[in-house]
Amino acid sequence: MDDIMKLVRTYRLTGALDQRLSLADALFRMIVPDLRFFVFSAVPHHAADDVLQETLKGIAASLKKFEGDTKNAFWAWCYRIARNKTSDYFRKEEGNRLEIMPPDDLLQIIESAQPSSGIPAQERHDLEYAVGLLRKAKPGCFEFLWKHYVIGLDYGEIAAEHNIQYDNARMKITRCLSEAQSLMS
Amino acid sequence: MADQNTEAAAKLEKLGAHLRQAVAAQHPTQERDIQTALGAVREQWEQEQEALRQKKPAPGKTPGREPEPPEIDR
Repeated sequence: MDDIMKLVRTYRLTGALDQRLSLADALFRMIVPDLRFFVFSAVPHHAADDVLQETLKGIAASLKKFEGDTKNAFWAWCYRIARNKTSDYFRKEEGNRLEIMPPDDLLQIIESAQPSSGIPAQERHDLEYAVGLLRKAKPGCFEFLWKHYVIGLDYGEIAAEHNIQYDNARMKITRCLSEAQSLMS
Repeated sequence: MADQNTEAAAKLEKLGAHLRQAVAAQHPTQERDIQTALGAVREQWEQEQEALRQKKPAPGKTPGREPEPPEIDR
């Protein structure tokens, strides 16, 4: 069984506070990096830390009630909480959603975190192609490609978020990718 | 087309992996993040304990015993 699910299942069965704290400590150290990436790509950076803190509180407070049995279900549940917290932020702070990570800035974000040796040429070529796809994607498609391939949300999570059928989400993403590719050539 | 799609999908996923690494490198997990989560765990546990205390019967009462019906005047 996956380490994350071992921790989640044991947590649900554990009553003692010290054991719960120890399990939660291990679990959150594993999930915080992916949640941070999700939040940083969804809200302006000056607000990301606060939104992340609210997300972590939300997950920790209801972890005992999580009823799923798979790692995918757990991540979908975590992302749903993170999405609710980002929506809360936009409701309170700003009327319009901004494009938080514009395609033109993506390579710069990656390079700024690279050691001085930089990105190998072939790797850089692939990344430039991926950024090109996002640039070429139609406005309605960018979000689908970004969420599925870059953030890593599965079809089910995207379908739920957009209130569409699973198969519609899958077909939309496939079509968006094909269209962006045809615009690249 | 399917192969091209697979290749393009792999490149987008690679971009996601690089961005995730970059964000993790620039904003490593801080002790504050973990302490926030643990604070919420503690708070939740305290609420559960309080709910359990309220469920327990008051001292002197026999648990599970129904109150006596009023006596009928004959």
